[in-house]
Amino acid sequence: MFRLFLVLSALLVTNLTFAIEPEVDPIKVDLFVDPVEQQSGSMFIGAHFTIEPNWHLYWRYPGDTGLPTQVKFTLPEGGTSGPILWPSPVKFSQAGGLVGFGYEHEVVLMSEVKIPPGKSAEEISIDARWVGCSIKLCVPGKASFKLKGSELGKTTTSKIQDLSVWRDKLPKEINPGIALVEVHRSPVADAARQTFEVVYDWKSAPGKLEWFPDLGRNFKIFDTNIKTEGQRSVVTFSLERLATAPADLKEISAEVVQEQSGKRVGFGHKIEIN
Amino acid sequence: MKRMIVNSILALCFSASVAVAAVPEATVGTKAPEFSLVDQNGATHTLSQYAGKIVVLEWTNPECPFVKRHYKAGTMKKLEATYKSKGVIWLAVNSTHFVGPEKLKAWSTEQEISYPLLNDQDGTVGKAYGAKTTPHMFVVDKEGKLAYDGAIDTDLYGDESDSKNFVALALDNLIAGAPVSISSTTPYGCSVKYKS
Repeated sequence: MFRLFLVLSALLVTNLTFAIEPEVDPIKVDLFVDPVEQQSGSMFIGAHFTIEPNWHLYWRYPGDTGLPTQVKFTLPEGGTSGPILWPSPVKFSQAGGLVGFGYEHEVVLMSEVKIPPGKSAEEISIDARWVGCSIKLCVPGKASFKLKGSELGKTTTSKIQDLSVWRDKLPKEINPGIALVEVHRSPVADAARQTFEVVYDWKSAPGKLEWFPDLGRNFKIFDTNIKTEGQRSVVTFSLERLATAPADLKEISAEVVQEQSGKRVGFGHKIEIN
Repeated sequence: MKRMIVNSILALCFSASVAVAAVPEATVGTKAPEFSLVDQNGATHTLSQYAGKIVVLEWTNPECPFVKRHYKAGTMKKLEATYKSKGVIWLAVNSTHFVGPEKLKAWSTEQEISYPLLNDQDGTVGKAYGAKTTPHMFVVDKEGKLAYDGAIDTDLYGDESDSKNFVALALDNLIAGAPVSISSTTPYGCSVKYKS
């Protein structure tokens, strides 16, 4: 069902932002839509980023540096788009102990878009922007696409051969069949810091584990540590709530990724905060 | 060879156990780290020589697009000019390992930067402050304590018409003798290109 994709050409694509012309162009973007889903008025549309070797772009929470990659939809009246579906990120360590979360080589950021009957896909436009970084340089970029109705329904060869590959990279909601999750938290201490211990009791011993917090621009994180013994993994960290955080923000999300038979599988969950 | 393999495995185990490295850094409300750095004109500056004054530290990198954008918009230079008359000291700091004194001198001339541009090419001072991005802003109060740590403003992508400038806010608070209302934010920009 998802083996063939329609690559829609862009009416306008730019890689310029900040009025600063990048000296290199390490990130290429093309657009895709699932033609089968589109026939029912609901389709998965997204941006496919191709990233030069030794460059990366960022997850929704970029870590110490960078900016979240953005994909935004402008839809005809009555149209809706779901949340951006973020594949599990990887971690890149940079000099100075700086840590980034994001993607290397390529990534697809998609969303389910619904168009009401009688409306044309030609009214859909997509805007993407990102910061691509290497060990030496960061280059911001952006691209705007407007779907061409004349190309809908055609099947062309895409760089994306199988969307199911990208669906498999999306995190699943963690559940008791996978692991029991227990969160212990300290009272808010000095400087509004709160210490957390997240315990994962896995149904079977996990492979190599990675952990990705999603803090937005609302917290600073300190002293993150992951330990796994047998079927139990424990993640400890401290959070400092920033004055810019909304007062009603009561939870953060986190993603735990484990390697199973050489494949990375991500599980997402929420963590309540004070 | 065996030892190399064992060491490599140990290194891998260690790196696998830590998701977010703890960067030792200065903390708001505590004494700001002392430094002694040379500027683009060969003059040495220490933090202690500015005791009793409010000091802004701006981590910068002439090759970072975020820095270029702010310099094109005049963000730093306008702020420096505004607060200089109120006794505020502005120091830019370079911890980019591949940007040396000649490049800093050329850039300060090109940008007509009148304030000191300090060379921390080995990254020692950057790491002591926990500078993560360019730009990354710090404000030190008259008592030598760190009063602000974070972003220059809210304008991540350079397209906000009503962005809030956190450094101006912190300086206004300090000059008025009030507590800094937003003392810590998440900085944005290029990663500081420290020497590995």
